[in-house]
Amino acid sequence: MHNQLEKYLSQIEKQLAALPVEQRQEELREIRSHLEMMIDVNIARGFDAEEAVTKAIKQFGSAQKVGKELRQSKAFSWLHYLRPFAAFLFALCVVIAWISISSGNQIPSFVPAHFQWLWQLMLIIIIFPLTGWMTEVIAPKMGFYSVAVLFFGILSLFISVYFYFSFWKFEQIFIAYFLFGFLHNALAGIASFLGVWARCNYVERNQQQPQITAE
Amino acid sequence: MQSKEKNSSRDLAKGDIPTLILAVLAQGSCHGYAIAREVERRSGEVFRLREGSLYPALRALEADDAITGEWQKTGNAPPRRVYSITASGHKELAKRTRAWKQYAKAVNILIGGKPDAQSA
Repeated sequence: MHNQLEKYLSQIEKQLAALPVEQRQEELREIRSHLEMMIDVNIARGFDAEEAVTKAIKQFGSAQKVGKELRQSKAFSWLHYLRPFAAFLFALCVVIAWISISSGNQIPSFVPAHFQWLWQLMLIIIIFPLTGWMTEVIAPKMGFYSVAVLFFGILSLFISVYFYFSFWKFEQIFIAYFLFGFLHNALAGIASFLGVWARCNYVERNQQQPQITAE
Repeated sequence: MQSKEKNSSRDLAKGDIPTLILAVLAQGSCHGYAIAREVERRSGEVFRLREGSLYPALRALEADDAITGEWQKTGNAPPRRVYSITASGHKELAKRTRAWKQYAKAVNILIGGKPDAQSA
C-alpha cells in the first residue's frame, strides 16, 4: 500500500532538491503526516488501503505541481536568511556602543567615581536584556545572541591578555583586572540570555490558543 | 445528494487561500490537515482546497511572519506541525477582510445585486 505513497513523496523530494536538506526533510515529514491522516480517513470511510492512498494522492495534487509551488514559495523567503545577519549587526552596534559608553571617560559626571561599578552593572542590567529581546524579535529562535556576547567577551579577554604580554608586561596590571573583565562579560552574556529567554516566553504565552482538531 | 454538493463546490483561487488560512487560524491553532477540513466545513463544503496548494500558502505566510509553525505531539498521535496566527497575522487578516468586502461589494454592484445588506 505504501509503495505508492513513498513513490509520490520521492517525486516531491526531487522537486525540492534545491532546498537545504533539513528544510526538504521537514517539508516531506509534514506532507507525509498530512497524507497519512487523509489515508486513515479514507480507510475509515470504507475504501481499501490501495484506493485510500490513490484518493489521498489525487486530492493532494500532482507531485510536480506541489513541488514547484513549494519551491517557489521558498524562493520568497530568502529574506529570512538575512535576518541573522541583521540581528548580528544590531547586536554588534550595541556591543560597540556599550564599550564606548562603559569605557571610563564616558561615565557621566553625576556618577561618583566609587560608584562606577554600579553604573557598569546598571548598563548590563538594562541594555543587554533589552538587546537580547530585540535580537530575538529580529531573528526569532536563533538564540545566538547571548552566545555571541559571551564569545565576544572571552575574545576581548584573550586580546587583553595578548596585549599585556606583548606590550605592557612591565606595567603593573593586577590579575583582578582580568577577572573583573571576565565577570563583566559573563554578566553581559547572562543578561542578554535573560532577554532572549523572556522574549521566547512572551511569544509562547501569546501563542497559547485553543486548538482546532479535524474529525 | 453527493453529486449535487460536488457540482456546487468550487476550487479555491490561489490568492484567496492565505486569507482563508488566516481566518481559520484566528479561531485557534491547528495543523495543515485540520486547516483544509475547516475551510471545507465552514464554507459548507462549497470550497474545496487542493491539499497540495495549502503548504506553499503556509510557507508564504510564515515568511511574512503572519503565522508560526511548531511541531507538537499530543497523546499517542504522531507529531504534527501546528500553526498559530501572530499579531501581524491578525492585522493582515483585517486588511484582507476589508479588501475582500470591497471586492465583493463591487462584484455585487456589477452583477446587479445589492452592494450589501447595510447599504440597502
